[in-house]
Amino acid sequence: MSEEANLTLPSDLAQSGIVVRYELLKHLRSRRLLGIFILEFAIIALILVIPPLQGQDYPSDSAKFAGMFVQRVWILIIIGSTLFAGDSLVSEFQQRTGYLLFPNPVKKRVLFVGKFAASAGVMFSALAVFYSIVAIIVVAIDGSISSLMAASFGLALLFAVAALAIGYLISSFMKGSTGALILTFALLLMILPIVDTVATLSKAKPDFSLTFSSGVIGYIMETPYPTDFVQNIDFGGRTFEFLNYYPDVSLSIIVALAYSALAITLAIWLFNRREMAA
Amino acid sequence: MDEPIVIENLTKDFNAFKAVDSLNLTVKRKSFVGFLGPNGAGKTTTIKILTHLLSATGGQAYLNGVDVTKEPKKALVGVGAVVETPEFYPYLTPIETLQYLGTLRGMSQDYIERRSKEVLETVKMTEWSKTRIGKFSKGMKQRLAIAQAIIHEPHVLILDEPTSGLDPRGMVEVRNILKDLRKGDYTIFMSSHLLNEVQEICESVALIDHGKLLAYGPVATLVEITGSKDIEVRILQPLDSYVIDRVSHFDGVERIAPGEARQFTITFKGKEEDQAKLLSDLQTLGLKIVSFKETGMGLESLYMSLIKDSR
Repeated sequence: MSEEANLTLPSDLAQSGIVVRYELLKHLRSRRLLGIFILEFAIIALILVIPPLQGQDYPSDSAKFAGMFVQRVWILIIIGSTLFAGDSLVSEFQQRTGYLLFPNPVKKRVLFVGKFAASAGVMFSALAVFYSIVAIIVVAIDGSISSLMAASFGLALLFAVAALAIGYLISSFMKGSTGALILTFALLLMILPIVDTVATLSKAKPDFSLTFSSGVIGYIMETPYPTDFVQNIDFGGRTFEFLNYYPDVSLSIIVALAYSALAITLAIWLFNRREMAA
Repeated sequence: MDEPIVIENLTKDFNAFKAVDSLNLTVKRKSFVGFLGPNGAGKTTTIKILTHLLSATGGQAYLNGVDVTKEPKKALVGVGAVVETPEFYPYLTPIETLQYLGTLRGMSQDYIERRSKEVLETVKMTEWSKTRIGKFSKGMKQRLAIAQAIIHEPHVLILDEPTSGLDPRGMVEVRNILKDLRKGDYTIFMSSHLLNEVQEICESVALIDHGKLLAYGPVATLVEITGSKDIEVRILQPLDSYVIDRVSHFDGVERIAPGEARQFTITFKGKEEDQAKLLSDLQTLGLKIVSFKETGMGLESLYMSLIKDSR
């Protein structure tokens, strides 16, 4: 044994940083990151191409023009959290890489923090690229840019953390990677929106819902900020009352923070308890 | 630390099933202990508890004096482990994998670089050091698993069936690596269900079944205790019940097991002179003996008798 073998373990924080570095490498070398960038370009290209094809002009107001793009950010966040979080923990068990990693002197919560930070870093990068491209396009076409875009970007980052937290929570208890990916995607894209719709039809404002609250990312671009209203629609001789709800900005921020905190805490607890029993 | 591995009353329950049952075991420094038992005996469960992959229901497991069930991070500092056949991150090369795990353990970059070269040389993986692991064979992964387990020059090595699932060539390669490790300052605790493997490379053996320790000591001592061996006999004429009955009553014969066609195996306990007498006794029965050779090892006899008794 050499003298160097008398090692001093890095602190938990330093170990988290090491995990972040190698998790980032994983994302950078995966096709998933490339896929999300391709999706971003596709969304931006479609939004740019469709109005001229329909003979319409772009909105003259730069905030409204930018709003056309940022309304689509939530779908990017859903796909991103599915790809970068959905199988992050479960794969260590299913792919058996946990047999390599866990016998090392590193706490599971340190691994969690490192993995989550790397996922958030990749997601933030994807969102930054999206908002940067949109900003360049808006400036190029309208000659100005609304400061509300910065607010929308901040909200997008916040909701991205919440969506990632949901992905990690699912990943902490699911047995298989595929199931975890599907459940994360379905929960954010279909299940929660269905709950929102049911609540709305029942005349209950779904303030508690992450997907409902995420609408704030797009609505923040509107001036004035939209408020709830009742819409009466006549159909077949009868009048139907439809309630149009809009998320409150402050409450939406609280909802995103609450989802993040609860999901992360629960995910760490479950990951910590989970054993390599198989 | 004279006893780097100390297991005290270790217990693991999976609901009603007791996988490890008040296990007590001490491994002395610089020894190579084989942890032997049939499938489901509790070997892997014990090793998983030692490497913090499973929690214990009760008892303690000390690694270098630190209870891994209470302070896993501290306990695993001077420990290297290969549990089952670990999978590697396919997007990393062996060098990057060793860097990742070495950095997590607090190794400096210079130290990691030097040790990576050494351990990859030891496991004969140098030429693959910069190839992504994605499509490595199981044997290559197993060799790399050993490399990562020793990169930080641990005092304690814990190996769980390191040759499991390998082809014969892979088994020989891994065993040779393990034999080389015996020359270093390692305390090695290795589970296996392969008797010949344990007898070939381990100094001591701990036999376990139903989560309980059945026997523990140097391989040679345990073999001597049993004194019995298996002798395979091949004859020209068919074996009949008369011969079986007569042979079973010869001195030293514990049992006779007819095999394929004109072949049978005798479990025999005795000295070399007694064994020579057995051969001549068989010939007095008129058997035309084509071959008469020892096949089973003493360890196998001990293993079979202890396992039989514990069931």
